[in-house]
Amino acid sequence: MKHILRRSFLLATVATTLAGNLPLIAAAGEAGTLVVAQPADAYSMDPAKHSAFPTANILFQIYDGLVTMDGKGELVPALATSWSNPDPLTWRFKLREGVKFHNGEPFNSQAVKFTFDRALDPNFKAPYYSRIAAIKSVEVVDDYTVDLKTEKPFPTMLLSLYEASFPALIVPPTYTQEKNGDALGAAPVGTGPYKFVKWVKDEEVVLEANPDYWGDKPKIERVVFRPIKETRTRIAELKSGGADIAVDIPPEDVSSLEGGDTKVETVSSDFLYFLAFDTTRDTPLKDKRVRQAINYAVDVDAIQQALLNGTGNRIALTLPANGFAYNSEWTPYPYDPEKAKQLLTEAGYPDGFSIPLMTRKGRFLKDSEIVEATAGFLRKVGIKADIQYLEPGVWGQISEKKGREGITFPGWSGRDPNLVWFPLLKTGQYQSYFSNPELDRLLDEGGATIDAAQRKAIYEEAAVIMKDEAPHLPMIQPPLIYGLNSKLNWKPRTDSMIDLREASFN
Amino acid sequence: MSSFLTSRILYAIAVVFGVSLAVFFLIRLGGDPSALFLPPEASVEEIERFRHLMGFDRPLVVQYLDFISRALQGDFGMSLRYEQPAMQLVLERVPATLELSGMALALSLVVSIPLAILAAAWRGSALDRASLLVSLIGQSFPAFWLAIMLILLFSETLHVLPPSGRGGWQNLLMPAIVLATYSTAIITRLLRSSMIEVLQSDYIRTARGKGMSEGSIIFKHALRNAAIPTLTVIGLQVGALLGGAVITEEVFAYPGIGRLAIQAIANRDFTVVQAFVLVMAVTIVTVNLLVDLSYGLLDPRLRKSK
Amino acid sequence: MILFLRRYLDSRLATFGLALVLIVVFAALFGHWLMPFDPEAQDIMQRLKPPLWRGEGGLHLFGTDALGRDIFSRLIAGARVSLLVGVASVIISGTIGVTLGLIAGYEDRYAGRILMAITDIQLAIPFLVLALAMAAVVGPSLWNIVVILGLTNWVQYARVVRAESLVLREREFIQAAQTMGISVPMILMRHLLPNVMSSVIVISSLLVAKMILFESSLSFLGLGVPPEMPTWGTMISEGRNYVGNAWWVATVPGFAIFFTVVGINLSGDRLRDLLDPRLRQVDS
Repeated sequence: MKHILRRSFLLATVATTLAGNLPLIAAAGEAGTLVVAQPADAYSMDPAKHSAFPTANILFQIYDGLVTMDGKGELVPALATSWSNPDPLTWRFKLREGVKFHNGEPFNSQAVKFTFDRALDPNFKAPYYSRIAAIKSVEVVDDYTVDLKTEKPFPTMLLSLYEASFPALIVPPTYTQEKNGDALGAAPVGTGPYKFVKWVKDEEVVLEANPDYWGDKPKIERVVFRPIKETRTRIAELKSGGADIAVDIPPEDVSSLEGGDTKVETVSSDFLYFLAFDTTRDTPLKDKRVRQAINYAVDVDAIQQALLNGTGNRIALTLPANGFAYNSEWTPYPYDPEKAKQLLTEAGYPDGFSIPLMTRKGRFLKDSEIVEATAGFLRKVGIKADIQYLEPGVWGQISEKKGREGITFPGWSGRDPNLVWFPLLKTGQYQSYFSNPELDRLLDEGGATIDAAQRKAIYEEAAVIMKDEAPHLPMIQPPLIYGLNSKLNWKPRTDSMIDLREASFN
Repeated sequence: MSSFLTSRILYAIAVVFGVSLAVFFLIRLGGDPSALFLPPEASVEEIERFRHLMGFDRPLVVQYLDFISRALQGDFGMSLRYEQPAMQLVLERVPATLELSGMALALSLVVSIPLAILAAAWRGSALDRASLLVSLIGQSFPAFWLAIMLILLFSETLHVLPPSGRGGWQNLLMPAIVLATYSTAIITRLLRSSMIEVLQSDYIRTARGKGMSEGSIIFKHALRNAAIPTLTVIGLQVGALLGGAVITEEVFAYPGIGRLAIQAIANRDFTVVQAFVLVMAVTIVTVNLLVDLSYGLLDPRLRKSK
Repeated sequence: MILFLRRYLDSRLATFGLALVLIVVFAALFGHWLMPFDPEAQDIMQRLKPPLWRGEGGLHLFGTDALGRDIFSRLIAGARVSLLVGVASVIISGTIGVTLGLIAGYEDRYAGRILMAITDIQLAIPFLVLALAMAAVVGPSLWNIVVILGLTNWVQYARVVRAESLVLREREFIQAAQTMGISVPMILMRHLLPNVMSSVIVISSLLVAKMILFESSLSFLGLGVPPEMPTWGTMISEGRNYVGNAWWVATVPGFAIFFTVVGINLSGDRLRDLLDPRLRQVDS
């Protein structure tokens, strides 16, 4: 029925066409075409020139990094086949041989050196510069061996090189230098499983399979990325067959998408929901007992159950449960409003207090609902949280001046304490509103140690301090929920990057 | 006449210039996009470095003089996000928005003109009441609510219309209806009351007395006279349509300039916001100028008081 | 006055409109006694319950929202905020627009021309874009939204009042006042203002309705009034994510806006017919 209607529309379209260029959008799922509906369009096709995940999702099909993340969240070889540390300041990578860029340029250590030299040049203005800034230089050892040099030991190097570290995707040196470097931003050339076909701004990015891909050949012929901001509209596209993957589905819609032509895939993300307390200003939050009280006062399990349908992971400390050094024996504070009130009384606030709660709205799944529900729980123990939704730009400015006051809901991601605890809790760090000399010492140590077992032991010690000092209220790793065409085989990743290398239709 | 025309055009240019000045400073009051553009872990030094590289740390007046001197040479700056000329980003989306607002304007004229004429001719009839109802309901809906309800009904439930994108007329239908609702209401109401007023005037009564047919009275005399005030309003509606396109494009993921503008404001992509506002201002000022001129031509007495 | 009211009530539609407005005003003024629940009280275990749901605390006439708050109580609380936004922003627009219009109409050489140029500049920037840019600068709070709406919607007043003043200043009583040496501000306030008042009232009544709709548009774009004070606009824009499985969350406030705006428009139309039948450009 649907198709008959579409066809009669097509006839009518031909009759009433205003301009010649009115092709019907390719019906999803047909003839090996996969349509991904995500909230935003690409900003640039140059991986070092953007700072947005929707853009990265598109570019990851076109380019490869030296390493990649597998289905279990492990970092595994991609364009590099193996690596070693000849000394603590050197990461040596053996490169895959025989790989060619889409335009025929060879992939080799020169390409790696060119990629990083370009993005590390301050005048290049790469927005995600800081992700790779620890790399001081790239040295070519031979055609297929490179050394990445750092000033200090850099244990999380691999996380700086995989696809979510945007400027680490490898670009072709010759082509990239054409047209003053503008060629790549409009018509990208990579080593990835899909080749660029066209980009109609705000409408679609079309890619086609690269038959010469060095890995498993892509199983779907054509991939289309469409930007659709409004959640309802994405769901409608999925239900009416106009999309095969719809990103960011609200938990409430999961049941209506299970069964029939659609299905749902859910995974706990690497993202972290938590409340951060400003202990730098003179507020009740300076008192450890108040911070503990807040941890007791909010029923995070109930929030997870009600607002997220029970999906996602409850976390005991601000670190993803699949992150480095996370210990499944850690436990969060239990929900105990009586204990909370008692602690507040001990701290001298028997009647509670008022405090600002700063956050942004609509950035993360259910963020405003979770913040408002949290404020509801705080109200029950007498703490009046005055919610302020800041526009993202204003939030940025306030953060820059270290002006986040009271309680905040900042959101963060990172799979290693050095990427989460260090920036968020080390004294004086840009994002840190907390200070504890003992914790500082441990975080410094953990960041400068390469040996995994040793690092784990250090962070285990830090965890004890974090639990007791309660600088955060750790909440949830929220889920990533995708609506899919029921014929599609595809698994989502915890870092929210979309990888279509393995995707196929039944 | 020609000096009148020249002075109007000069005035229009001055208005566009004023718009550029107002918008330039307004959007910068909230600070620059450096912190927004870099990843969350970027340090204050990195933000400062980026700010300096982009020239956002210069005094606003210097930045404005820089902007205006380049703009006069046709260079409206590069988009921060897209790394492309801002004006090009806006202009390449203009056809899509024109198509949408043109369709919406056509739709509202097709509905409102006959409805208003018939309503005025048979005042108090069921049709007249229907016209009142249309204009009442049409201006009482939040547009985005109507949009979501249409998507829910026609795309999600019935699967007969694509909920988003651009392509054929079926992509255009729902957004155009949403966009046309308000204008239809306004034009219907206005044309109807203008018609009624003209129909009651002395000279129409004289024409009737002379035995002219009702049809030629309505179409030859009443409509022509009622057209003058209606034209003004249609002119003003063009601005409203282009502005309303912002919300409609957002809901229906329609690739027009409104959606670009919303993103640009959120991203503090100053050059794009400026280019967008300039394009809008030139369009609105031109349409109003044309309406003004035709107004003056139709009724020379008005030229002086305008 | 009574005569005027009687003439007003001659129209059945207008009477209906007035009744709608009065209901909303009543809810806004005496809402505290009408609310069955605390509009802020959450119970996330009883979220998204349908209308007529009987919970632990009693009957939820219009069901509950995403955080288990009673929609009926929030609707009543929202009446106050929505109406406040509408009326307060209209007062700001009216004050700006009428002042500029009077000055520009009375003295149309320098001040007048500059003021009219400002109106044309304002008119050439799409309202939503201007409002969004301002909201991005000052941040969304109840009073910021009111001021933004006020600052972006005064053009209509200025245009109409100027046009009327241009005609009025040629009339004998103004000329007489001038020769008597009465100061310009006095002439504007005492003599011109009363004569444009009927137009101002009509514009204002219709603009209140538009302001309520504008506020909802800003909410939709994420820049509405913050959540502690529910407005209908915020309620719809937050509820729109649930239309697939809990239609009432967005639909109930949607109808509240619809009926309020219909009521205001019907009343405003009637006022126009009675006070100022020639004023037609009002809703352009």
